[in-house]
Order: sequence, then structure tokens, then C-alpha cells
Amino acid sequence: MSDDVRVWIDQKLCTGDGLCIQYAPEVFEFGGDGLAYVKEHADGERLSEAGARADVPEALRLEVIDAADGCPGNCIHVVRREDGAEIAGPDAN
Amino acid sequence: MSVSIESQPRLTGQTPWFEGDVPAEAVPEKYRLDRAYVPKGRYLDPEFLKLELEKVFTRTWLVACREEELPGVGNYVEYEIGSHSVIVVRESRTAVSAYYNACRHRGTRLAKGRGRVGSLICPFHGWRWNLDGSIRLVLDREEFVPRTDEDLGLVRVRAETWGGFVFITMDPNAMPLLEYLDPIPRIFEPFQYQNMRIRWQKGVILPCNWKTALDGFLEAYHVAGTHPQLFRFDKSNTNIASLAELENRVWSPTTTYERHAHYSSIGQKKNTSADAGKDPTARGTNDVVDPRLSVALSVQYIADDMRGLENDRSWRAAQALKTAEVPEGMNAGEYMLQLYRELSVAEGYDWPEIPAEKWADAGTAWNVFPNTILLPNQGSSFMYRARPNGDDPDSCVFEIFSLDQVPVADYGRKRDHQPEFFEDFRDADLGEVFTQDLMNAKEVTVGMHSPSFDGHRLSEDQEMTIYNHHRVADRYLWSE
Ligand code: FES
Ligand SMILES: [Fe+2]
Repeated sequence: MSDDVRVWIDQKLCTGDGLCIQYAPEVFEFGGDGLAYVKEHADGERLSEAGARADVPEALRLEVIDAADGCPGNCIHVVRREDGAEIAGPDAN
Repeated sequence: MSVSIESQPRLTGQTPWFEGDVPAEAVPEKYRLDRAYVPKGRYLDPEFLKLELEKVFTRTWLVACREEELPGVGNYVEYEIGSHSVIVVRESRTAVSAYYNACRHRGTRLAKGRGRVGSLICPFHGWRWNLDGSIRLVLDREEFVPRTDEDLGLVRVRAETWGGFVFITMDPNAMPLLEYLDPIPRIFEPFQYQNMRIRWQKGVILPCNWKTALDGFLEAYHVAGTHPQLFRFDKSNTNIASLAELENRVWSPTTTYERHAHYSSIGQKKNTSADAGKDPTARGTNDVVDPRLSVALSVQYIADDMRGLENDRSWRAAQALKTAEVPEGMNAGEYMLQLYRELSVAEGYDWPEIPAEKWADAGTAWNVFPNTILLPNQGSSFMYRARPNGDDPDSCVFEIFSLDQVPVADYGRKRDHQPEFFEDFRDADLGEVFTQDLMNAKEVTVGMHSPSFDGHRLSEDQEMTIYNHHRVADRYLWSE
């Protein structure tokens, strides 16, 4: 199975801390509401819909997983692209 | 940055004095230094500790942490000194900043220990700051008297780096770090501290004054008395040294600069002179006829017992030396260094040959005023740091950092780091040599409290590092 992952944020739980943006500014960005959102490219538009999913470039996979592990709101979900299984975040085992 | 060159060092054999020192009359009699003499009140009086905390620790540059402890943006380390807490944080890929660790609302400490955050969030009412210290969020801000963002921003503590160490000072008018450290950055340049990383870090509580903890590492005059096994073939024999062994004791004269000082272990007292310098090829084990074995055993004992200063490569080089054919015109110590260099280069380390005069300038161990000691060495080093423990002059927090140079390919690699802490040093698994040193802490303290004892009577040859600390401290203690 490939290691490719996608990431999404449960904005209802986001604390606005910004730790994820320190880990991977290419993937995470603050919206005007102070909550974090995901994007697919470093200079791309952030996906402003709540819970939107973005593909994570291979080179940033570990950073994104660290962001999910350290997130104070515990609201970043990292899922395997192939089968949707959560590998980091509140629903990972 | 331009660095002013310090006045010439004071060499061994005299009590140091430098232009600009505080005159004796300016110092209260009970704390007054005399020739090679330090009164005990400077260690035992709570009032003196209070003065140190007010006047020395707030005005000097202090090692807060290593840069590798702050690998990513948002990583922070809390540094506590006296009743103050300072937070050191990586603000961006290229900048490390420090702030007083206190909320602008009602003062609450913002962050403890170490960790990684996206912003600093007060645990009490949730005010928030960006990593650059600017205020990001005040709940119900309209209910407060109008205040500027500047007034609500975190208050900076100066932070500067040298050799991979992050230093802070609470004095906004302190001289720049490199000037303060002079001549250390110049003399330490060959040893590449910026390319070292922490192998291990252990902190312990010691039942002694913070300066007593450091004094035990600021001279090697104690080696014959405290570490009798160091030069023995049988390292498990820790019986007190025989008179014949004392005959062969090493001699370690001290050199003092305007602010910092060091000692140099330069060989046996009976065969050496004051103008000899530290020579890394001159080491060995008494009563071992084969000089290869003599050198190798010394290296391997330090590597195995202290787990620092030496490392796995020097251990292997020493192993190879035991049976090696030492080339014509070289002694075993020189060949040891060559084998170590060859291994290091082959394994990807930047390993220039360091000329003898640079080793001699560097000596063995430096007091980085006020509360740090560094042992200059190629490849691996120790740093010791001591801080007062609360307001008890008879208790301190003492830490050992074992540092290793890393291969060139790993300069950019992030590493996990977890310091260890022990209430009792006997639980810290520090090895025989450190344990012997730390056992002295309590004994010195108990004895100093005796009414019969008035102060330290120091060797003008081998203990002026200790005197020098007090001489420099006087400049901070008794001036405005
Ligand atoms: S004390 Fe920090 S927000 Fe109130
Ligand atoms: Fe010692």
C-alpha cells in the first residue's frame, strides 16, 4: 500500500494556536477567522470549506503527522489516501 | 562584529588583579578577598546569594540552552535563574528570541519546561502572543483601559548565540556577547562547538553552594586526592594515592583573563615548567611499560567511565593503537591522535589538524563567567552549569552536558533531545570519576560551616580560577 496521505482539519475544535503552521506552512494557513485551514500547494489557495481535504506532498508527510500529533486542539486528521484510514489524529489508533 | 582584545592574561604564580577591579575598601570586610584567599561568607551567607541573584545573574550573559534544543519554529526551552523565568523560543528558521516568561495580564508564567507551540497562550485567561512577542488575542479587550499593542507585547530578554550555545542576559545595556566572551570564541575556534550536539544532559541537586559545585571542576589539583585511579593500570583500585604515586602527580597551572579563566593539565609536576602548555599527546597510565597501552587505557577509561570528552571513535582508535606499529619519529600519543583523525575523516567528520600552540592556548577547562565551565577539545566536550536552588545558599542545580561533534552530513539533521534530572546524583549513573567529584560537594559544605573555618586558602599556581571568579564577581556586586 502506498504511503500517500491527505489531511483535513475539524475547524469546530481548532484553537487557533498555529502549531501546524510552524510545522508545515506549505500545507496549513490561518483563515481570516483565526482558524487553521489546509491547502494543496505552498502558494495555492487555502481550501476555505470546513473539513476540506488536501493531498500532502510526500516531502511534508512527516511534518504533517507531527503537526497532528502536537495539535493542542487535537483536530488535525491525517488519512491514508488509498483507503481513508486515519494514521495520525484523534481517530488514529 | 568587532571584538576588543582583552588585556593580557595573568599567568600562574600570582593572585590576579586587572585594571578596573573594585578596590578592596569598596567590599564589606566579611566578603573581602585577600591574596589567594576567599572568605567563606561568599558561599554560605543567604545575604550574599541574594546579592549575586540581584547583581551578577541579572547583568551577565548566561548559557540558557543549546541551539539544537530548538530545532523547529515554535520550539521553546524555559530557563530559570533565581526567581526569574525566561522563555527561549525559535521565532523563525533563523532567529532565536527570549522573553520574560510572564503574562502581561496578571503575570502568570506562560510556558514551562520545554515543548513546541504555535503561539504562546497564557494558561489563566488565555491571552495569546505570536512567537515574535506581539499580542495576538485579548478576550474582551474592549473591557480594558485602552493599551497599545506594544504595552501588551511580551518583554524581550536579549539572546545571542555563539558556538551553538544560546546565551541570554537580562541587562539591556550589557556588552555584546562576543565581546563578553573574549578570548573564548577566538581560542575555541578550532574545536567547532557550532558543529557539536548534545549526546546526553543530566541535572542533579547538590547539597552545596552553586560555586562550590563549579570550583570542584575549576582545578585539577584535586586529581591525586580525589581520583587516585586515573593514572593507575587497575582503574578499580580507588585506594588513596601512595607517596610514590604522589611523586608522579600531574600539575595543572591556572591562567586568568580579565573575566574568564582556565587551568591546563600539562604533565607531571617534577618534569614540567610553567611555560609548557597542554599537549593532547601527553597522557598515560603509570607503571605500564608499553606506551601504546598506557595511552590507550587512559582514553578508553574516560570514554567508558565519563561518557564524554572521548567517544566511540577515539575508543576504537585507542583499541587499534594497542597493537599498532608506531611509526618512527612519533610517540604513542601522537600516533593515537593520527589514528583518531583518520577514523574521523573516513567517517565524514570535518577534522583539521590543530597546531600545538592552539591546544596550549585552549588548556583543559574554562570558567565561562559566571556559572558555566567548558572543556575545549576536538570532537567531544563537556559543559557544566550550576545555578542556585531557590534561596538556599547550600543547595544548587548542577548540570552536565556531554557534547559530540557530528558528521558534516548531519549538520542540518534534527535530533530528539530529552534532558534527565535526578534529585540525588547517586541515581544518575554518572560513572566513577563524576561520582568522586560530586561526593566532595557535601563534605566541603559541612566543613565550611565549621566555626573553625574562615575561608578558602588557595594555591596561587593551581587554583586561581576559583579566586578569579570572585574577583570578577566583585565588579558586578559592588558597583552601581
Ligand atoms: S494572567 Fe494571563 S491571561 Fe490572565
Ligand atoms: Fe574531578
